[in-house]
Amino acid sequence: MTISTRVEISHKYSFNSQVRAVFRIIIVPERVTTATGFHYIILLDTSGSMYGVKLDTAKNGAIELLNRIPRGNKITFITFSSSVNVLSEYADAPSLVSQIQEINAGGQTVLYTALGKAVEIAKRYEMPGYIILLTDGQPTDITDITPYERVTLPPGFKVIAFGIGDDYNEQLLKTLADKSGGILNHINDPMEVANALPQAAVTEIGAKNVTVDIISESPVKLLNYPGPPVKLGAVEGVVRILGEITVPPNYTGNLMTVKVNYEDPASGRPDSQVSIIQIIPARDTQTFLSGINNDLLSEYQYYALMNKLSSDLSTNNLTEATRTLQQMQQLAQQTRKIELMETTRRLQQTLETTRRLGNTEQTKKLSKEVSSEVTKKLRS
Amino acid sequence: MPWKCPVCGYENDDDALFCIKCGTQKPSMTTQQPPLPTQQPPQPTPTDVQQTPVAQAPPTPVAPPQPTEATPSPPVGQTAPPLNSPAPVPTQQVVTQPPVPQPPTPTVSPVPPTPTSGKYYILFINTPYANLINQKVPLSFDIFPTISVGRSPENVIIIPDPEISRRHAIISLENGELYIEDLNSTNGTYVYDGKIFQPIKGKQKIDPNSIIKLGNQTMIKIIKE
Repeated sequence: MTISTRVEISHKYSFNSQVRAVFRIIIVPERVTTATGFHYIILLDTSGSMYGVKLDTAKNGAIELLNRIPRGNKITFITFSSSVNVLSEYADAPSLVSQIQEINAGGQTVLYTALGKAVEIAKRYEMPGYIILLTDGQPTDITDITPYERVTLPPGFKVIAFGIGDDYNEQLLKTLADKSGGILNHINDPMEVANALPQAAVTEIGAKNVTVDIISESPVKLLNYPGPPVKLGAVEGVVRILGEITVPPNYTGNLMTVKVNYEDPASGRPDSQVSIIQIIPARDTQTFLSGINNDLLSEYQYYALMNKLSSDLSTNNLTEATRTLQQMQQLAQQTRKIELMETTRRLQQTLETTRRLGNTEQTKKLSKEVSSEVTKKLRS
Repeated sequence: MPWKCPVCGYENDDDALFCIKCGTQKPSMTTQQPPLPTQQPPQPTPTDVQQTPVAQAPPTPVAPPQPTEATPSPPVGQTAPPLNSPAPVPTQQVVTQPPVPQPPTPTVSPVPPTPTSGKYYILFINTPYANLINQKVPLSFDIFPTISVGRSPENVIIIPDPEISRRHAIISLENGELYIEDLNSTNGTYVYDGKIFQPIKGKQKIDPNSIIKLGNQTMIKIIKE
């Protein structure tokens, strides 16, 4: 057993009316092994706007990233500007250093075409992996966000996006990250790229080809991952899946069954873990209320509002964003989690600065920071 | 309109379908089940919620959920409305559309008309929805003894201004005198005193021709004809 699974639900009892309960599935890697058998697809924007420091640090970061990826993984390296250029495809630890150093910036940003190419290559080899995407601007081939929402990413693939500066489309990159259970990294200073990019290399994992299935007769909705079932290429760190489920009136019995199927990364043997959540009706209102885990409810609500905050800011609605942050502050205090309180305080300060300055540039910057923070908090 | 959870007492936003604090359904959507079955008294113990981790379990170890004694909930919206409740539609004047001079049928109002010597109107001096500027909307006190003003649909007068609260203020006519009450709105209600706009706290008498500011962007004048 290389991972352990724990399932928590907000309600011990059902009631005489429908109840919305929330749950948290925590998967913890107990024994880690070197991560092998993954396909890294690196997509590097080499459009004209990347010229200079951005491209130089991105190249250094990419070389360092390739050095960090353990042996036994496959690497595809794609650059895109006015066209898509595949430097290497499904190669073993390629000696790409000289090729990367020769990359020049210039032309448009055909992000959608490059993404399509990456998906095509990923599907060809049927191996879980990561799409590491680095860009600094708006796509020029497909600018509407809807086609990106419709892109079918191969199962077990996670998008780790890096947005540099103030001009990239954070909603687009967040959409790709959300679709795959991945992360958006906002990089304000181009000099940070050289350090940030290599962090995307996964060196140790607790499980591989993980599928988290939730079996229930009641409707289940997940907050921070697509699914159910949730398909994860690997468990690199603690995975926390948040969701909500409707408890029918006076319900007795198994409310939900969580089944985690995975592959032991050391032996390659399939394994599974099952957790069952049972529930009984409350005798009276007092019993019902005493069986509620308020911390879990508040935490769930906090993360739901965090998603809303990101939408508020992307639509430039600072008044609503302020209100959302006030609600988040109350919830953070209810959970008594210092981490949530600190995050809220920091966001409030940044929002306050943005409101004082009152310019669009500052709002765009805040929107990028929050979009990045949301993907990290929801999947850390 | 915010709603108070009947189970835990928490005040929820009007768009919340379940109580944020305890998870129970919004009362208007709830179909109450009969009291909990007596033949199955619950035994609350610390192990009431049983989480059973089964490592390396066989492929189908779990029996499907068996909702004993649980009656399936009828679809939302089948709950019978309270008897004699007035239909919501005739009790509104939506000012986003051209003002309707004829008020809804008087039979809707259960309250006898308040005797008035003249008709009152609201004249929009300024508001974000440009079509409303210089529009006159009647304050039909003969139909509505108190007229609520706000952004959400439950109000008698709905003003599409994002800085106006969902339920912002109430205008009433009592013994021939006009009153305005601020409903603890976020951006406040103000009355012009000839120099500046003074904030209205609670309920305050106003005169015809008063200029009122709702939030930061909407200014109205009360007119008597």
